Amino acid sequence: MVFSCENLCKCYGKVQALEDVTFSIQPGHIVGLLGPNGSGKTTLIKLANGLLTPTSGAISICGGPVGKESHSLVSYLPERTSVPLWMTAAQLLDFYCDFYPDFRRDAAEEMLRSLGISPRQRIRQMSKGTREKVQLIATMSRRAKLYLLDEPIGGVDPATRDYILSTIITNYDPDAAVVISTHLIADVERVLDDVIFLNQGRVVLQSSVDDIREREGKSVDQLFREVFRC
Amino acid sequence: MHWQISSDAPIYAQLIEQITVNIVSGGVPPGGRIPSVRELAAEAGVNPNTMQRALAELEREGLVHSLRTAGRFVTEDEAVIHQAKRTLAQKHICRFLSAMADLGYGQQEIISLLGEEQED
Amino acid sequence: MLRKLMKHEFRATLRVMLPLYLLLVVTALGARVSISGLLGTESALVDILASLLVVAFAIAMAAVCLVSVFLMVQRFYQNLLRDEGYVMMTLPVSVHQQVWSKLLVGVLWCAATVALVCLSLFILVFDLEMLEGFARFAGDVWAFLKTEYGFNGVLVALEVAVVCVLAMCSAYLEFYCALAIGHSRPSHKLVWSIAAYFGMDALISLVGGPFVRALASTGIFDKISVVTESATQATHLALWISALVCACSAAFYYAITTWFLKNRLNLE
Repeated sequence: MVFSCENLCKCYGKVQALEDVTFSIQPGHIVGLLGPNGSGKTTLIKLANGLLTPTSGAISICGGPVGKESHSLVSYLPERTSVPLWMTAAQLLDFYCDFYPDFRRDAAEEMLRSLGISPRQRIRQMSKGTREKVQLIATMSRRAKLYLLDEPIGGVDPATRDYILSTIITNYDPDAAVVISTHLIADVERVLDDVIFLNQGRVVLQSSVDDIREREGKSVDQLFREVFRC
Repeated sequence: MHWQISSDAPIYAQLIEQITVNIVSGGVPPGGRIPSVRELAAEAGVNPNTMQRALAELEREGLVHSLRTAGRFVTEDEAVIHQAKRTLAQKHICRFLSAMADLGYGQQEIISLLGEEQED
Repeated sequence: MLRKLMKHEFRATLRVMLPLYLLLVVTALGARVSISGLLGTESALVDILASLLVVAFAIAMAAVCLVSVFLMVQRFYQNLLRDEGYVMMTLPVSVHQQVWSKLLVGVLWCAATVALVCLSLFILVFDLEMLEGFARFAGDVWAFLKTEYGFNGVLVALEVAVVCVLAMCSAYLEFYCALAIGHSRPSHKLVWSIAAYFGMDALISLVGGPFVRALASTGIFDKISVVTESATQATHLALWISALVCACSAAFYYAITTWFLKNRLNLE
């Protein structure tokens, strides 16, 4: 099991962000963490990265707790730009090379080239979309055991969306697992093995994409719209 | 090849159908090599596991076979390919017939309509 | 890993500190020129220019001192507790290494600032004769202290340096600690940080009073008094006690900071 949660709860003051979440993710799987805004997707991913501490319950990454060791196994893409803005793209790669032995610099440089991003440009001077691309490149250039991608396609155009998705499916190791949190389901559906639906901090559905299509005769996107109809 | 994933049917089933079409239409000749799972998955923009599942199903049907190191190849057995083509054709005909039945056409009417279409 | 963290911390801070240091040296040179030649001339315009150069130096001096302290606190906040924290706090390094890298780099920059300030003052008043005079005077005082009291100047200087470094660490860690506590709250993080800072100050003085009284009851302060013991011994003792107090408070803040970062992290 690459990633599992058991009876996980998280409260912000009186607000319950996650309630009794239990699931596990196998190696080699690409899992969609789907839910409307405020359903607890980001909270869950931040908990798995140790950026928040759970109120109760447990998280295990490759059999161990969240901490220094798990950080070397997890490659994390936050939902916001969090790389230091004063760095150039090349300096960012230096940074990742220094801290992650599994970082593939040549792969990262190749991706920067194919997206036409100059390694000498400062991240501060890049557009929002370009910043997201650079951050995704840095995240996917690691040979990690678990990729936690929070809204990887949120702020980019459809053509880049396709590039990003193909980057994800061609770069992950078959022993690794990928978790993609998003509300743009139609775009990611084809690359997913399984989906986890979150609503108001609870897991409301966990299934494989083809099972949903077979059983319901409709796409995950359509099912999502029905489950979360306002 | 061109991939088109629709939203209703299971993805692996659609992949099976589209690869089969590609083979029976001669897109890949009998005995020809099929790209790796990863390449196909990237090309179709689908999950590699799903592509793997589709190819495994095609292997079970005998339409493709894998050689341990060299990769996957289309069968050289023309009869199998022909059979697959037939099965696909039947599937399309069934769909067509049921759509026409929904419109209220009987079998004879359909045949005469097809004849008229041919003349145009 | 600590080495790598420090390397990148230096890279990040060098961008700000280096131009500031350059500015300080350049304005010191300007002020020097102004003092030695331009001030007190007939022309009012030259006079104004000359005083502006001196004012610029004073401002640069103040800026360097303020920024070198402020930047190190700001780095802790910006780099670990704000957006950049998403990258920094998910690195495969321990919380201890994170805090140490910030602290060590901060102290080193402060030391560099002290050195630079000395250098710029030196530039300002550089005068060979005066320098010689000062050196002779200092040598005399040194020799006098040594023969009269057995004063070990090197040792005292070292002790003073240790006390300064420890006091600086303690001051930085108090800021870190307040920020770490404030940012464990779900909201109003900065307000909580400020409250934590003053709260801890109050706590320290609350605990510090009885602590000093307890120390006094052991009779240790009597020894510092020049009357009872030799002045040299008294100085050493006073410095060692200061060092101990600074080290204790630094350790206290360090323990709280790392505990909160490890167990109560709550990034926005």
